[in-house]
Amino acid sequence: METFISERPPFLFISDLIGAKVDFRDGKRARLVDLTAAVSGPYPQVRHAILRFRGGKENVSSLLWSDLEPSVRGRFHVDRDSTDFPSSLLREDEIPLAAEILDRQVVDTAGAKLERVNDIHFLTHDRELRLVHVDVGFRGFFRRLVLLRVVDLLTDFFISIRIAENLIPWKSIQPLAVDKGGGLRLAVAHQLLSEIHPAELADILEDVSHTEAAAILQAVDAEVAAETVAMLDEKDQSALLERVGEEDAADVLEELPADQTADILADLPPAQAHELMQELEPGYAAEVRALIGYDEQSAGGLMTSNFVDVSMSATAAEALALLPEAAREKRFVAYLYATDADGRLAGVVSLTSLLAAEGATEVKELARDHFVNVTVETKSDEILDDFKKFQIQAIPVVDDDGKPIGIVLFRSVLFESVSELAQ
Amino acid sequence: MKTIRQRWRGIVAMMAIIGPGIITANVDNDAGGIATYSIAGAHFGNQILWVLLPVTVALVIVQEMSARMGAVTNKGLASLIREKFGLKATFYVMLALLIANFGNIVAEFAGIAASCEIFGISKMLSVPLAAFLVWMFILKMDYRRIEKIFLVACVFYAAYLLSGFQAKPDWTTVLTSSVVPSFRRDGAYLYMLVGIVGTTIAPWMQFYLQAAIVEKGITEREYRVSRWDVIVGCIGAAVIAYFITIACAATLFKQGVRISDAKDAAEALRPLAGKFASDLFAFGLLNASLFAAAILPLSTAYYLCEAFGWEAGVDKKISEAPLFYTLFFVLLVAGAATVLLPNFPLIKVMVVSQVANGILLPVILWFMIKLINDRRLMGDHANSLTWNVISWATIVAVTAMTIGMVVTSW
Repeated sequence: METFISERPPFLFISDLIGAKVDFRDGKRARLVDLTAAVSGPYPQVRHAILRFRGGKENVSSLLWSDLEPSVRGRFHVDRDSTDFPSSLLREDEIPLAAEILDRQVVDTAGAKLERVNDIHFLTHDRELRLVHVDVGFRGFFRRLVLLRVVDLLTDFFISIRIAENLIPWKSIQPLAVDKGGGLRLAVAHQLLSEIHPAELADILEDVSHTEAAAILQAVDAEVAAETVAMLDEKDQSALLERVGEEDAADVLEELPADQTADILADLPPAQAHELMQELEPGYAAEVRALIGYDEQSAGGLMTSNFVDVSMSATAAEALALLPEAAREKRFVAYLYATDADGRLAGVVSLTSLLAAEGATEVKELARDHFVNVTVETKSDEILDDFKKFQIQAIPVVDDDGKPIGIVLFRSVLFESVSELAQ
Repeated sequence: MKTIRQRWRGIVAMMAIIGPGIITANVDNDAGGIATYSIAGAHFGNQILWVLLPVTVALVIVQEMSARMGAVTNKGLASLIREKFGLKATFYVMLALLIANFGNIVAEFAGIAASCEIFGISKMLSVPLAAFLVWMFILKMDYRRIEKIFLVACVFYAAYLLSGFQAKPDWTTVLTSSVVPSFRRDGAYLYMLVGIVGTTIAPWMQFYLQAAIVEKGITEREYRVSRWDVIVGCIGAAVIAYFITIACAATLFKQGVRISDAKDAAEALRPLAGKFASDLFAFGLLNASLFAAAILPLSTAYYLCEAFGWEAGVDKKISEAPLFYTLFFVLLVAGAATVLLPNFPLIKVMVVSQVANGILLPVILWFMIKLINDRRLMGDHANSLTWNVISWATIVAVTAMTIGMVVTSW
């Protein structure tokens, strides 16, 4: 008579389970092919077992993990007939772990990078199996190759060190399983994904397929998505915005300052840029269209229209009152640009001087009337020289009549000059 | 009507897509390839020319699948194999690829040594210098510029066209034998046929091409242009192979000269076709070997890392991608050092590498056809029935021939 092991070990790896033999009461035998879990939540519970009967096809059955009784040598026993478990469909939120997680890339949201999953680590509790970690290290690697014992023996013998575990908690893992609608099956709170810095998220997007990248982009906050898109290279921007679809792409782009959207659209294939432009909100589209005609290496191509202008005759209190709204719109508020009665740029007021002044003081008195300004044609190297000379954060751009139409931020030129240096 | 600016953009956009196919196909004419075609021409004359046509067709079919998978999935072949067939299968495939590619790297450095010796440069100087150049070249330059240099290197293959014309072949027989198959029942002839298939359709190419397509960010929409890149590349490479064979057939075969490698061919050409033809031949060998030596260590390190999920890429710091740089360094340095070691069993390394290539190729092709028929992966770009019949026929033929080669290698 076979002795049954009554206790389940506290921890298990999916590599220990896949391929295990399953015996039914009616004598039918099958092999465990996969396990499913609804992946949301910090420690998802394993629900169904996917089996392959001898000579048969893979079968998602209504067999639950808890129906499997451990028997000797890694086998499982089911105390009912195989016919008691009609095949069923996977639930919407349920994913097969070996097929969709194992060997695939997942986003480690804590480390902000992609990892390839070597093994999946479970905790057994009562009759439940809960997903706790993914193994991305060498132990998992050798375990899958069934070489872990050999490797441990060798390392024990020769260097007296064991390869360390490299497990990542499931609660910070976002798998890249994409559902039929092209969306991401969110495992982590989507906030975790949005908390990755756009620069790091852009690196991740560059390393996954366009479909997966589009799904990630749609899962994060529009603002994060926008900043991330702005950091991709033009080739990826084009591919990704196409994959996301015009409507969603437009929503993402609208989160960006018009000058950045203009830069992105200028690099896209003309037809794609035109289609996207149609989807943009009319006011925003006009702003973008005004910027798109300029050479990227000139003030026109570098400027943003997100500045605050104020009348020379306004008071400091009136000027300050403009700022909360401006800040909400993400305008540049370190300087205010003062205009005369004809709307021409007549002075620049710093936020510092505005805050220090009495409320009734007129802007006229606070504004510096000697200031540097450029036109849309001014080249980026000249602008850079101005920044070096005057040590300011932004330079206003004026049109032929001397009216302010935008500002060039130091960081825009910085990026240009750094990328030039890199070449 | 299109404005000039739009037209210019069109050209720029197309230039952004071409490259991978042409480069892959040309690297295929590496030191080993040139040796094989030279020997084929020298020992069998024009009789062997006809085989290049079906081999080119097979090459286009296989390469087209790699390129299509790259454009549709935006993932490398190593990645796709890992995700569909699991870690164990991937591990052994990668191990075989590592062995096969190491042999190829050694062959490239041997090619560099041999061609430089023709110009009177000692291998003690040329091989370390080449390894150093490759190291600096890869680590100090960005990918776009590297690709441009590679495309220029492709132009240098024209040396073989000149070399072929210099050899003054009898064009009438050349053209007839190019299309009329001639069969001989002797083992040496069959072995040569198999050798040509094995050297032209190599496992590493499928990985390289797909990775290059992904790296370039080519999309489904751009794939139509990319397909031409592949076709033109394969045909271009076949033309080079054709001219190498013609040059050797018109001279060495006529005079009954036996050769055992590409260096022999270059040296034997000197009295028969003149110093210019001989120098061109040697220069072509140097260019091809250097070109492949620049690509193989890096790309091999790259696929291994991709398959196993290790950080990779020359844009990463050494501390960020230690395994990638270690693999690259070891493959490069060990490959170069092997050629310099006195009494190193070079031939044995070549045979082992050829066997690894031979065993690997059917496996890779089988994986590829499974992957390209996976509709979840490829969607509407999965193989059609007709295309599947053609692909399977190619794969069966190539497999039969490589198995034949592996068996005869022992």
